[in-house]
Amino acid sequence: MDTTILFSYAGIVFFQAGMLIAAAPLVRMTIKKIKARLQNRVGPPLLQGYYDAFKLFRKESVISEHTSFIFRIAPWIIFGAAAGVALFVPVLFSFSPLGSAADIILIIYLFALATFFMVLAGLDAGSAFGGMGSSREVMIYSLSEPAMMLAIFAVARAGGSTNLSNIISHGLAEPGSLFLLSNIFAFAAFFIVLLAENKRIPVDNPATHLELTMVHEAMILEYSGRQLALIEWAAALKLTIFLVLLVNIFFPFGLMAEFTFSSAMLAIFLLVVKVSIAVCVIAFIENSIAKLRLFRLPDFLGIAFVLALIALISSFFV
Amino acid sequence: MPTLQATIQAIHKEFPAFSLDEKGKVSTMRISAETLKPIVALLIGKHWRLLTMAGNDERAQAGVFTVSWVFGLAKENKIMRLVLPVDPRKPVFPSIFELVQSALLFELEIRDMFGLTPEGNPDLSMPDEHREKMIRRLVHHHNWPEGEYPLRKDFPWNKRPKEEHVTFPFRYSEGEGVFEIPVGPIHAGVIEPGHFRFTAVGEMILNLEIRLYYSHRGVEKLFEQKSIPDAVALAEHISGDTSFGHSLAFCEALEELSGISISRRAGFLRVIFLELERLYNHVGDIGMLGMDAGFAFGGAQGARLKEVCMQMNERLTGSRILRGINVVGGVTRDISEKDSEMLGAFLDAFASDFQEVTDIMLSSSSFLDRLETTGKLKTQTALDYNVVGPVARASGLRRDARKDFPNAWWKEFQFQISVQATGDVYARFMVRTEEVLQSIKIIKTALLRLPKGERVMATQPIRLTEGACVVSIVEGWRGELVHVVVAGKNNSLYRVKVRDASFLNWPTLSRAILNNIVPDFPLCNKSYNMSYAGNDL
Repeated sequence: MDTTILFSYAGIVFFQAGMLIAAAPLVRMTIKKIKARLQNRVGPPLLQGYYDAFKLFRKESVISEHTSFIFRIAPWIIFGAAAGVALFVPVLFSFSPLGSAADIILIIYLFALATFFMVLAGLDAGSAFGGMGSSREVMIYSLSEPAMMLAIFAVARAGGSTNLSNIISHGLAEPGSLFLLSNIFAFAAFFIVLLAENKRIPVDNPATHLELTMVHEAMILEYSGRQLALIEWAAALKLTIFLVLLVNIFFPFGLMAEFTFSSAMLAIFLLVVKVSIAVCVIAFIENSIAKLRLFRLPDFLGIAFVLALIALISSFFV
Repeated sequence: MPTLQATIQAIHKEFPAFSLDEKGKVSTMRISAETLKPIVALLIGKHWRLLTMAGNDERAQAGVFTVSWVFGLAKENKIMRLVLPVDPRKPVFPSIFELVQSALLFELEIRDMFGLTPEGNPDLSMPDEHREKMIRRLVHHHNWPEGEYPLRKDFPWNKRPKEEHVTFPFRYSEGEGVFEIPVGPIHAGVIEPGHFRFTAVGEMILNLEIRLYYSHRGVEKLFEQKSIPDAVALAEHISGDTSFGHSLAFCEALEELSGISISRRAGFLRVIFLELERLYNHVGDIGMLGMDAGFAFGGAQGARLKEVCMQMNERLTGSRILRGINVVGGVTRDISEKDSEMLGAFLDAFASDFQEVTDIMLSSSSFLDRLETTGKLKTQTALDYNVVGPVARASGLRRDARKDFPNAWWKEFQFQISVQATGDVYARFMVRTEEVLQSIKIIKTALLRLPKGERVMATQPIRLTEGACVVSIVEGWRGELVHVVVAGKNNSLYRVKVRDASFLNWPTLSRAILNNIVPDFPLCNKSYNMSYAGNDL
């Protein structure tokens, strides 16, 4: 391969990943801001996520003496896994610059790795809340993962591959296929999974101070300082990646097949518009419905599973 | 025949040795330890209800401690006080838990504060995990040494006893999959301190043990040191959100003790302010229920509605939480013609605003799903524990001190007691919603009928008769508040016993939460919204 192409590919990989990592706290804070505006409140500044991270990075980390090495390495693994995924995801281009590595199953399991270590870290300190959070997280994850898999398979069947580049290119080549029944059901299922995986309402309340109701927050209660900043940034990154996957798989319009300046500008503009719409929808949902009872979650995620199953079955009848 | 007369006749017939001393609405009877239970059984049979229990140190006057049981007869507005002298050499008194379950905590409180042991109280001690019998103290902290009883007169109010470590035997369970979740007393939010220890299997709650009294300030002891104006201010600080309710109960007690009658206008103003307090707190609670269910709309709107109410309080009285208004003899703030119009217009706008918000909340199925069937308190349990206030009304008990023990002004107001049958969080939500609308109506009626041209503050000097005792009852927003005041020498207060609604309601929270799941506890707790400070004193 030509070295210039190699360099430009490497450039694309790091530019896209860097963009996702840099924008992640902003995306998360935008939801908060929109929620606040919908409630007639002013809300935090949009850059609050960066201020918080900056503050936390300068602070000391207090680590319980009862923890093992897992507690210390977990934040790095969690952030590493999310950052790793950021390298594969097609953000502005209709293909992943890492080619065949950008398999959706790899992405799902990189996130699973992060979840696994998050759960272990929650248990590690031995506090009652951490254990409670971890047990709930595992319950939710075990229900949302099959739904996500099936939804992905439904979309992948149309593209004939689980590689993201193929899925997206197929969607761009045949825009009509995006509005097939199977795709619409898969989209709905994937959206529910997005809410569950990122612990948004109605699955978990990211704004709560009530220890007994927490899931994500309960697992990270023992973290402080730099490690807390890493975990929070990773959570924001995961949300951003899920949003990018959602809009790019189901609405791939405007993604570049090859680089030109004007198409790059268009791609960035359309990405921002699409992600903003998704963010608005999430903020609106979070304002208009209550958190579900914990034992209603299987029903809720069951809906995602059934939708995904319908999507997969109907994809055989096209 | 009214129940009071029937009761008195029955008591005379069965216990001819005891004489009833009737003064106003309070009848006092000095009894002996053997006759306590038969008399209590007789009172219970005639629908008397235990309002409070108070210990007192009368060693200086009569050489004894006393324990009093204060019973109330609803509707007829009568109080019966049974006083039992307790010999300091044998400081025990019989527990009446077989007859009145809600006496359990009062008896433990008297043990901690006076060192009088309630014989037969099943909650008094418990084997800990080493099978040693340990006393389960109620009020005292781990650091408080055993044998120091702060409400005895020979205990100086500013004494700081040596710090010790007395362990508390919690109830515990063993078994596969059974684990304990200790929460608090320091919480993640800015809320009052309380320790909640859950025993759970998975998410299902088997037992909840509540340890309170982390905000004990010695209020009852402090009352004995204060001049009367300072004591009114102290009453306002019993529980910040019930500032007006508690100071009203205290002022009414002192007015009765000193024979001061307040003007009709002042009485009506007190009705208005009491309902304004109910209004802002209920609205805040409704919002907080939305917040804790993760229903952002309800949370935000509730906070806004509470804020406009509190701003209205400030415009009317200069205090957002209605402090500095009550004095013995009336109120310090009048409502002018202009303010009355402003308040009336505000209430009209507020009522439609509030109704719109609750309509939206109640049309959200996800919100209702969180409330319905959560934290059910059965009517029988509520009755056994003698629960009061919105919690009692949500469990089907038609109890409201404004109707049951009304003062002269409350008799002039017509309103409905809102009662729900189911006893779950939804029922408590609905009771509060209806009470907000009732309060608005009551305030508007009071504004219309406000007598003109009268002084709102009596100028008579306060003179207390030594040894006189009164009981005053006010329906605060959390429920019935009871103050028992015994006057001392030279206008001092010999003993003030305060009973917030929370004291009776707290224990039932551990009953309501049984067989619910751990993450539903905050919602259930919020639907109760009991006071820690008012309970701890």
